[in-house]
Amino acid sequence: MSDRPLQEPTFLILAALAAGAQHGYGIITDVERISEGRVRLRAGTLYGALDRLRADELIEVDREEVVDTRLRRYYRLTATGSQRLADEAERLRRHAAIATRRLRASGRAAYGTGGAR
Amino acid sequence: MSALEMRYRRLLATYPRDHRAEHEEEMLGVLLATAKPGQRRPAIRDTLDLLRGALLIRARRPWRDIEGAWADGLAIVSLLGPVLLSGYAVIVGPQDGYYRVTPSGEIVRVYPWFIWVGWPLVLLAITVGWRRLAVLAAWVGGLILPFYYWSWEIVFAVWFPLAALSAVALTWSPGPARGLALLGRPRFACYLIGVALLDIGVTAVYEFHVAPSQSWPVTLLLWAGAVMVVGAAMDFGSQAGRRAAVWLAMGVAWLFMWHSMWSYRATVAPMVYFVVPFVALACVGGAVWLIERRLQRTAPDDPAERRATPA
Repeated sequence: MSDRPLQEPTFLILAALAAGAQHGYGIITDVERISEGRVRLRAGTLYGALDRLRADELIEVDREEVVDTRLRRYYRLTATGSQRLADEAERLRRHAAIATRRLRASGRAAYGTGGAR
Repeated sequence: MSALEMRYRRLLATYPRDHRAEHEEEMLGVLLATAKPGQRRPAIRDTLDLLRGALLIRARRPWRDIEGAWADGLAIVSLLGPVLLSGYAVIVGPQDGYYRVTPSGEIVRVYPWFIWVGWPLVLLAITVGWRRLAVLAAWVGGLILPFYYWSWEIVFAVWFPLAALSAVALTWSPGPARGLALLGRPRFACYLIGVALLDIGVTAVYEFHVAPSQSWPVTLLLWAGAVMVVGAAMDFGSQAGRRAAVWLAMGVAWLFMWHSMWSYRATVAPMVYFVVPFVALACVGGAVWLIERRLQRTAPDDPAERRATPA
């Protein structure tokens, strides 16, 4: 398995699936919610990522349903996927903690306002 | 089916077949769910996103995973390419040579015969069934050595397009045995005869210094005609044959562009050698195809259809 940092859309997809199995449209809306409207996945990007994540065995198909004559497939995290997401979240947390500590020490940033002075 | 759905389906057709089989309905559901009420055409961003997605998925897949007619087309190329290149090597090789100054100041003519052994060796290895040796000989003897011993303009002009295509096809396609099965022995025999006749013809060009006109209309006509009918020669009745034609046409197109840029360096015979085969091939292959079509009308079980591979 690769140790490279996950790209943001991939990270957000895994984060969306951490709450439970979801279908494609559900993932898109959840990712938009998690990213506070900043990341809006499109179908081509989403299914490219899902294809890659399945090949890497980070996600798998949970179940399939037919809704209005159209197939709806639900995806869920695998154990490897959960671990990969946890590792990535921890890595980001450590980096964020270092950045926060240094900015506080230098007194160059305001916190809780969402921007630098 | 709505106009929007139809347009989305057209865009989704750019994805690999197996991906479509698995995800098309699902993706369509997502695309329609995210569409605005009354929308009739895909948004530009969605269009670009889908095209980019299809491209990335195709690029991510190793060549060996390419299935269907494109891989089969390369398999045909892996059989036909070495034959043509061997024919070229046998005819041009003995006449090839360059002058070199020895340390004592003497000018000697050098014949790098070992460059020309590559493709006949490939052909021999294919015949015996040693594919790994064929691949090795194709890359080392057919591509690397000529680059090392020739000037790069000459390599590109007369050798590289078909040599590179054939080496790639030998390495990554299902292989010459599959190519032979697809093409059929009668058509392959016609091809061998065609190459042999061309060898004789090119020898005549060399011997009698008969050079056809190098004017562009003639060259363009030869090339366009070759590309159009090469499909017929390569079993136009099957998708694999048509894909082989596309692969080979790319090689010919490269050659054509190169000659248009370096025409002052180009000699006529190599050009004739590489262009005329496609026309000759078209004649023999087209004839076989027509005969098969005639037989098909009389026989309910069509061998051409049996050979046809889904894309």
